[in-house]
Amino acid sequence: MLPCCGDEFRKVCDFMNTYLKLYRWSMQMKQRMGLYTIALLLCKIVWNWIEGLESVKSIDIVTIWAACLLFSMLETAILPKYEYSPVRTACWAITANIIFGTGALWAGWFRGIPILGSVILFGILELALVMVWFGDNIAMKADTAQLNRQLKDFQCRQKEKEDSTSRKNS
Amino acid sequence: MEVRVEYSSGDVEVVVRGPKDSPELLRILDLLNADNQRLWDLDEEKRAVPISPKSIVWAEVVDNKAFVYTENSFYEVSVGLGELENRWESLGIFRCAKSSVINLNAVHALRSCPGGRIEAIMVTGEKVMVFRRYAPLLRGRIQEGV
Repeated sequence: MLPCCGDEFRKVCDFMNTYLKLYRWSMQMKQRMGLYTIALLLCKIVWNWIEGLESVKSIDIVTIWAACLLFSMLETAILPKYEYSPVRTACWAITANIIFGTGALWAGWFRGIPILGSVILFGILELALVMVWFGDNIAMKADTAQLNRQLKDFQCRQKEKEDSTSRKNS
Repeated sequence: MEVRVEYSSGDVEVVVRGPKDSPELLRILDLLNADNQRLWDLDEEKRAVPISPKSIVWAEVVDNKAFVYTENSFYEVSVGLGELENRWESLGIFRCAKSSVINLNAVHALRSCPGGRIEAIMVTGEKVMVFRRYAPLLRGRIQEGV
């Protein structure tokens, strides 16, 4: 049974609050991590097909996942509420390039790729970053504006309905 | 106006008798209907407190107990979130998560969030998350006004 007051209770509460913060943070992060892992894994699968391989090594899957996990964790620190200021956007893009570039070189995800292939991969990475930025920064803001417009319309309609009901009753 | 009370077992029944369209009769009917549009609950001193659904900002369930938050206070209520939603859906009560409902008329602003979620900023400044499963329902509701 949990104590209901005193230092021990405070400790339990602090632990629960810390746990909840971590839980919310991990829930927020895991979606992005999954998205990045799938995208990078697809690039790896395509490269392996070009190389004539029909499978991906488990070590490559694990390193790809680890790189995406690291980037997603850093992303939550760089963009806590996915609000993109110029400085934060630059930090985020540089971090992505460092992590995925270093990861590809160190873990050898695309070992033996020609220069043209490297350029294409780099282009894909930059395009993906632009798409994520566009989604978070432009599309989400437009969606927020539309939601608020619809909300105000809904509230006006509700008020009109209420006024007509009270007029009818009086 | 004559008031007659008869005590009997079973459900409470109210019969209002009088000329059709009588102002007095209509006023009594209004009073009875208005009472039906209230949530009665006990405050800390065990006094029956009427809560108008219009004054509800949001409600949540914590440890199997339902709490209703108004602009200035909060009450532990005996009804569940499902009942709140079913009874006053037409007045703007909306289920936004498994354990919370919001009053759409008490929402100050909405913010689209990653992962298909929507953050509702209430008139009290509190932020309530509309989860992914409920977000399309919210979009439909404010679009159609159903």
